[in-house]
Amino acid sequence: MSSLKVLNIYDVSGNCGLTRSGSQWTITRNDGGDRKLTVSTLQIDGSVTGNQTARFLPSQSGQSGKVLKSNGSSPYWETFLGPQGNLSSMSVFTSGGTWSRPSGVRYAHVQVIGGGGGGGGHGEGGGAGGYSEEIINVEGVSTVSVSVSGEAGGTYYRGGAGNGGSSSFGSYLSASGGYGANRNHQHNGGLGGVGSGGNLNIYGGGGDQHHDGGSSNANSGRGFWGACVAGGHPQGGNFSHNHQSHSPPGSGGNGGYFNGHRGSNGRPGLVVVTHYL
Amino acid sequence: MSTLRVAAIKDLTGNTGFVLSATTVQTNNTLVIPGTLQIDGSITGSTNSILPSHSGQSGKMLYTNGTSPYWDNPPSADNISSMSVFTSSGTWNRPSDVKYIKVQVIGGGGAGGGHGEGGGAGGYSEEVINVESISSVYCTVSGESNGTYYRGGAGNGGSSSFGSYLSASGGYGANRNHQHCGGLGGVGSGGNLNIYGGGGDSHHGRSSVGGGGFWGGAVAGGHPQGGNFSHNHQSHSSPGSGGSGGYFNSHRGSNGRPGMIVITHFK
Repeated sequence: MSSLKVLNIYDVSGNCGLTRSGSQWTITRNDGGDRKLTVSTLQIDGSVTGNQTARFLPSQSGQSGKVLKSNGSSPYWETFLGPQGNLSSMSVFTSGGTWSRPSGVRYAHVQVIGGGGGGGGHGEGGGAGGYSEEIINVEGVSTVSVSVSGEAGGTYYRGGAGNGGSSSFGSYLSASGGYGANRNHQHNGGLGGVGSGGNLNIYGGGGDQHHDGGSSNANSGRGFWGACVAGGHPQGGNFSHNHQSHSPPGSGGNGGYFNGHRGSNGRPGLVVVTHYL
Repeated sequence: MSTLRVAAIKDLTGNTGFVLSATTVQTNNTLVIPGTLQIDGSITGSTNSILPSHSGQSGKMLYTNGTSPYWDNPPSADNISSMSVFTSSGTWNRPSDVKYIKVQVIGGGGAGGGHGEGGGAGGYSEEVINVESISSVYCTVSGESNGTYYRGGAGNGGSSSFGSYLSASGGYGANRNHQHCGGLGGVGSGGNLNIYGGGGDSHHGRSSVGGGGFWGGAVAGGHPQGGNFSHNHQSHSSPGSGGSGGYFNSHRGSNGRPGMIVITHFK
């Protein structure tokens, strides 16, 4: 006999077997016990349904390069970032703007310096901007508004030079600008600004004081990124002022050689964001 | 015939088929399901081809040991995580999971003199350390050093150190290396990077801004119209910077600034 056509197949006791319904065969037990099918090798050429689909791989379409994870009840594919956690890139803001989190970046190391104060006209230097530094977990952040101080004007004798402005990275951290020469007290160098809100918050260096026979010394207006522009001599005209861009962000202005020489401008602030995946 | 009651159904050779008992249906060879397999109960057996149970495995990733699949935590991402800043001495404790740290140490600044002589800045040292087997390290941070009136030798800055790993000496006070000369900067040691701090200005008829270190410069220079301006505002200056020299005469040099230790944590 090559073929026997039946609707139900049961064991000899009539309790356990296979029953047909439409196009499906189902394991049946009349006593309500576990309807268990035991096989040596199971070959599935179609799909799997029912309440155990979580024990099989989900669709792989469009999931190239991903790894399988569990949410506690079912599996899902996810882009794997673990071992890629690393230094990846940096953004430098020399003027205000918006920082947007690059894809995959999880931590930002932010360095903020305020603007330097301007230099005076009798050797008085401006103070450097304050400095703040913070490490921020940015996984839940998409953009942050960045403010960067512009430059502060240097003056001729005997004005008070401009104060440097603040720089900030959203509401996370900020740094105030250095004072302009003669701003804290007539004839005195400007005091440095200070950082706030960060893990590290420090003062910038101050400016040189009023004196004859020279512009500010080389230590004047030194912030985190460096000190003021080179000092000038009358033979070079308004040397310091004319070359003021040749000095680091946040540094104070160099005081002009008395008389008739203009102090250099305090330098704009800076915000540096280093990205880690 | 609607129902067949048998102990087994076999093919013509007797090799393959279903074996039926009162409690189980068993096939003794490959069962081919060309269509859909629907499972309403559970899955058991010795196969390694299905996913392990998801219970209690949330957030975990599938691995294989070469034989069986298993869920486990994803590898921890090596990354920067936080920083600790010591402006005075204390104990650094390794945060959990931190594997590497970058340590930056600056010594205290030397103080300023009373005839325009500036103090030297503290030295600077930097090192990357694997701390997987370290739980705590004692940090020593230099305090400030005292500025003087003419014609004293100003105080030398003290050392700062991170355990026995790295340290940085303080800058010299004004007139300490030689009368009328600015203080020389301190120097780092023990780190991967060890550098000098900047020195102070020399004796002259006015004041001066003290020596600048890694973190920035000294307090602003004072003028007699501001009294002891530099000394009075000495806290407005960066860690480890030298003291600014007082305006001759009778103005006091500012104090050299305390050191600092910055520890950046990487998991």
